[in-house]
Amino acid sequence: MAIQAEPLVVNVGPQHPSTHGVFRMKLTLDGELIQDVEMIVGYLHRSIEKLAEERTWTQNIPFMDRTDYLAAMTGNQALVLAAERMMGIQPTERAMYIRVIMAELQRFASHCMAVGTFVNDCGAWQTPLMYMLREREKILDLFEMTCGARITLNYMRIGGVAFDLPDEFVPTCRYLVDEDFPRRLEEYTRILIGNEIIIARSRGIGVLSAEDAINASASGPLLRGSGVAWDIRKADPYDVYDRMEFDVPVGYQGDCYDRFLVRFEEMQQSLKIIRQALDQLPGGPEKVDIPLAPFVPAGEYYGRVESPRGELGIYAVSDGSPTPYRFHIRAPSYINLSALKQMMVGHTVADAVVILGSIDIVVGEVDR
Amino acid sequence: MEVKTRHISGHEAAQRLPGVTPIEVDEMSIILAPGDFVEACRTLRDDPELDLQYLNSLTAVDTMERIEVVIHAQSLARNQMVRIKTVAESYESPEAPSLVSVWWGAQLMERETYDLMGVRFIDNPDLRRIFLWEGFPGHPLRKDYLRVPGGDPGWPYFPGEPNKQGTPAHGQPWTQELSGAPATHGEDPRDVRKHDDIMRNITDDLERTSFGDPG
Repeated sequence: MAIQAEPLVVNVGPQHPSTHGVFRMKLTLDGELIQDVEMIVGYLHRSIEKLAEERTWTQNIPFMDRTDYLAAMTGNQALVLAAERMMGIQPTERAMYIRVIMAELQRFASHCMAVGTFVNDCGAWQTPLMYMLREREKILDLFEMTCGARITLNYMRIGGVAFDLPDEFVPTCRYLVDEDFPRRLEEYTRILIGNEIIIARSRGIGVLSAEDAINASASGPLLRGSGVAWDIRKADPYDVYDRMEFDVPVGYQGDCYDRFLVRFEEMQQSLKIIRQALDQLPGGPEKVDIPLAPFVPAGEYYGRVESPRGELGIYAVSDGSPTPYRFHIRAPSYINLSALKQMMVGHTVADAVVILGSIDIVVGEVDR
Repeated sequence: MEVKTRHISGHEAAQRLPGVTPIEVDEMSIILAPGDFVEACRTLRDDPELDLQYLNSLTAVDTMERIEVVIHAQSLARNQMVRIKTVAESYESPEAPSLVSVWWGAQLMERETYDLMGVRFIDNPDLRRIFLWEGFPGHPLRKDYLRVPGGDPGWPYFPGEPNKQGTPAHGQPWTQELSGAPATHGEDPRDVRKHDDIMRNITDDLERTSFGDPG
C-alpha cells in the first residue's frame, strides 16, 4: 500500500544565495520531487516604466542601467536605438562601431557572471566564479577608462556615444581580445567543459523542448539552448552587426548543460565580433549634435536588441512631446521565467537551484 | 543581402482574416474587436503565410479615452512581425480576452499588465498581482494615477510620514486616495495633461541652455 503524505511547501528566497538577488520561489514537494513552483517577485520593483513617462529620452538612459545591471550597455543600446528610429536620427559610423564593441564586451562580462554563478550552483564552489570575475573586472576597467563608471554606465546617447574612446582603449582592448581572453577561455574550457561534476549536475536537468521554448516566449541562450537558431543580431541587425561575421551557437537537448555551453560559445563569438569591429573602427565624430531634449514625432515603435539574456524590447508610444507617453520594457529575464515551472516540475530541490541558475535572471530586470 | 525583420502591415493581416471586421486598420497595426481577438490571433498564428508562432510582447496603453492591449508577434522561420491591438471593454474597469490559450508565454505578461494597468484578462488561469501586493491601491501605469489637479504629479510626502505643515500640499489629504475612497477632485483628473507642463518646462530650459549634449 502506498503511503499518502501531505505535500510539503518549501520556501526558497528572497534572501537566498542561489536566487541571485531577491527572487522567491514557493516549491511544493512530494518527497523530494517538485510538484509545483510558484514564483513571487516584485521585491525590487521601482516602477521604471512610470518614471520614464515623466522624463525625456536622454534622462531615461540611466534607468536602463538599473534594469539589467549586469548588462547596462545593451540596455543603453536598446533605448538609444528606439529613440533614434523614432526621431529618424542616423548615428555616426564610429559611434555604431563603438556601440558594437561595448555591447559585445558587456555580453562577455555578463556571460562571465552567468557561467561563473552557474558552475557555482552546480557545486564548483567559488573558484571558477572568482576566475570569471577576474575577467569581468578587466572589462569593467575598460568601461571605467572610457566613461568613468563600471556598472551603471550611462554611456550611449541618442545619435552616438557620450565620449570618444581614450587613446589607451584600443591597444588594451586588442591585448585582451587577442591574447588574454582566448588564453583564459582555453583554460576554462579545459577546467569546465566536460567536467564530470557539472555534467552530473546539469545534463538532462531542466529540459525545455524547442516547441515549449517558443510557446513560452523564451529568448536568448534559453531559446538557443533548446535548439532554435534565433539571434536578433542576425535576424534583425542593428548598428553594424550586419557587417560582422559570427556564428549563432545552439544546443540540441535543451537542458541546463546546453545553455551553459551556448553561453560559453557566445563568449568566443563576442571576441570574434570585437576583433572585427576593432579592425574596421573608422575615425570621425563619436556623436551627432542633437538637442538635449528633442521632440519625438508622434507614433509608436517596437525595437529590440539581443541582450545577454535575450530579446530586450522597447515599446514606446510618443505623443509629440520630448517625453515618452508610454514606455514599456520587454524584459527578457522576466519573460524567460514563463518556462520556469515547465523546467522544474519532476526534479529535486537541488536541481531547482541549477535550473534557476541556467536561466540567468537579473532581478533588477525581472521587477523593473 | 540585407536581412531585416519584415513588418506585416495591418492591411496584410486583415486580408488573412476573412469574416473578421477590424475596428481600425493602418499600415503599422490592426485593431480588432475584443470578441474576435483570441480567435483571430489563433488564425494568424496557424496561418502558414504569417506563421506567428512567437509572442514578443504584450502590454497595454492608456490613451485617456480607452485602454488598448497591444501585442507584437513574430515568425521565427519567416522573420516577420505584426502588431495587433484590441480595445478593452471599459475604461474604468477594463477587461480584455486572455491570450494564454494561444501563446502560453502570455501568462506572465498578462499578469504584469493586470498589475500595472489594471486590465482584467478574462479566462487567464492565474490572474493575480505580480510586482505589487494584493490590496495595493490603484494601478500605477494608468494616466490618472496619483494626479493632483493643477499640481505636480505624485504625493507631496511619503505616505506615513508625519505632515509637518498640518495640511497637505495641494489641499488633498493623501489618506483619501490611499484608502480607496474617491478623492474630491475639483475637475476631471484626465483633463490635466502633465506632458504639457513638462514640455513647457523643457522648452524654457532649451532657450536658456545651448544645444548639444554636455556628455
